Amino acid sequence: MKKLSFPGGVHPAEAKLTASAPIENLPLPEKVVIPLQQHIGAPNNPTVKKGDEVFTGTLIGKGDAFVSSPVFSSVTGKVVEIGNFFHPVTGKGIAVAIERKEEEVLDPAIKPVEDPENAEKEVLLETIRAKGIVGMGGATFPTHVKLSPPPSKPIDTLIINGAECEPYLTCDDRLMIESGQEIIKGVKIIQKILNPEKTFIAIEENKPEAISSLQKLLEENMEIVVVKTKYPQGGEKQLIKAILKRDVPSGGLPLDIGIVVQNVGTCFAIYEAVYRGKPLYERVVTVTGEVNNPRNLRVRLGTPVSCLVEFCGGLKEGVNQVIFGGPMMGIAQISLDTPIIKGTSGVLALKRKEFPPEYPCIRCARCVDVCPTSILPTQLAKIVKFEKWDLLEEYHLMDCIECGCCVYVCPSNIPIVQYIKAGKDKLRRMKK
Amino acid sequence: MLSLIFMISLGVFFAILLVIADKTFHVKEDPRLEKVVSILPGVNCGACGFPSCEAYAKGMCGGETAPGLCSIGGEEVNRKIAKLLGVSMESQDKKVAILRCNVDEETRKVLASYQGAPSCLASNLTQGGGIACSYGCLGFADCVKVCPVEAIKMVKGSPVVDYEKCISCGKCVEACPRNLFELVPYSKPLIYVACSNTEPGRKVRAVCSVGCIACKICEKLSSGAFQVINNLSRLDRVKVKGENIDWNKVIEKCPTHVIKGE
Repeated sequence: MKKLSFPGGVHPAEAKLTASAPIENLPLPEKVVIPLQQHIGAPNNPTVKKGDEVFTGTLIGKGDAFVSSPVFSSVTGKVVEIGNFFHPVTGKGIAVAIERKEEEVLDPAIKPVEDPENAEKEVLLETIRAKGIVGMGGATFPTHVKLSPPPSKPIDTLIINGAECEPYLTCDDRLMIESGQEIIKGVKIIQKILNPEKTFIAIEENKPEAISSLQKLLEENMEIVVVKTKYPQGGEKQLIKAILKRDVPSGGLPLDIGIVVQNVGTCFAIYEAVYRGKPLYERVVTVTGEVNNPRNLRVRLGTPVSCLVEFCGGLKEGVNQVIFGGPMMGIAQISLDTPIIKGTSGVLALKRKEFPPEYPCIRCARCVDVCPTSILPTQLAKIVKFEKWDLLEEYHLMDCIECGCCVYVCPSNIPIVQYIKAGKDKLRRMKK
Repeated sequence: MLSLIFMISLGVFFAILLVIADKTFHVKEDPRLEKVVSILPGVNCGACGFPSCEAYAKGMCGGETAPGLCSIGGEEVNRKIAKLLGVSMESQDKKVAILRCNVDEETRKVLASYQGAPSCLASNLTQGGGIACSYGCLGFADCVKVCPVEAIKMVKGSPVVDYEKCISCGKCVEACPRNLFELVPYSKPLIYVACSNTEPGRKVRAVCSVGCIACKICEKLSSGAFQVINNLSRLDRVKVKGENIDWNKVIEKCPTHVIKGE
């Protein structure tokens, strides 16, 4: 076993409070609010209307485009409203509100793939698309798109991402410990679709239990690589750099150099879709930080975060920030009514001091040193601040992965990532 | 002596060379261009649709466009240029930017405190800066920063346009991440709906006390000049001219005072 890493990055306090907490099922909520847009790509249209009765796993929204992913009802009940609700990423978005009934009924259309071990590649790929599987690490890119590389770009390596480099989060760690067999079966499905020469399962060295439990289950043509505990080790491009010493070209994708990276959570979801016919309507969420009983929970999508917090004993006194995701890349929420979506890996409550004021850049270049993508964060922040939009692309704005290492080390408290995100938004608007 | 003759002949040789170069590489420039440029204000605001005053002058001299688009110079400048070029003027009514949001510091409902980059563009991406209304003004004055003639000022946390100063360049329209500015013909009184929220009235009330709740009172009082489309009252500016409408009554009766007349 080797210990590998990439240049740059930081090592924040790990704070994995829930590393030994087994995954528990959250009691079903009275009402769920399921946003129609839970993936990167074309928007979905609702397939139900107000007053419709839905089962658990009934399709409620889908899009026609290739880069889109359907969404499903996560409870049995009645659609009470389709309208604008809180959305954890975009602030507000169209969502379907469903009131739950006492008895839970699975949608009769849910059927597993027949003889999954010997199923055709096309059948597996179609199942992954139809069951709404997206990247569960947080980016929520539709998985079937990632698994359909153009014929001109053969895939030689598959990397399964179990790094989980964000502090606090433990949902992938627990999944690897508790559902190793299912994950390995999911990996085999991906192997069948892509037919890679090599498969690596990358896990950070701070998860010895996950490493040893998966080690026992390994099948032929799979190898566990232990990567250094460093943030953002779980970034796609950083993982590729660490394991294979290959660089993804600027503006390109891993498949341009023959690599596909999939999260362990995605492998588990693929297993459930293929072997059980289960659409993606629940996921594992780490509820941690300043809550009274931090836990790992299996949560139905659309559950308001207040239910999770309540189940974990409520927020401690003085909590003033609730973040979806980890502390480095997560998004602070404005309401406890915000629902859990496909990409929510954690709910983190924090007691924050007043954010210190922004001072001028002293050009210490710490952000340049830690940037894992080797761009110049300080320069980009300045360009956005002074609205020199034409320079953005020259300084490779789009290569930023928004990991937040630069902000973590900045002695002047400059919200660099926020400036960069604003710049990306501006660039998109200008290209329209 | 010899050196003197050599130097003189060298001078003559280069003089001839320069004359030839001048003739062959001569760039023919419109003699009017310089005059037109000197008449234009030279602010390079871009309101005419050209990147600079000189580019607009070139366009006019080349006959691609007609005078009349310069909104800073106004009628006087445009008339001067038209006279110089001997062409007719493209007539254009003065337009001004209006803000389609009604909030100020006191009425803006905030769900969470925002601590980050002080810009509308950035805060809009961060859960709407914690502001309850997902359509309304964020209050970080991106519009004030881009206005080339200082026509927008922040008053009690929301932008106010000075219509006399506004040159309708459209920079605020572009800069506002929530698309709250609109260019409308400048008339007196200037009537507009100061809200962009297309949610049903019940939901608007939950996030804002001064938003359009689609009650349709304006529709009835204005014989159809106002129309509530998609839960938001909109003013039909073509209809406005023909009808005799009691604007004061409409403005007064609007329950959330979202219809403005200035």
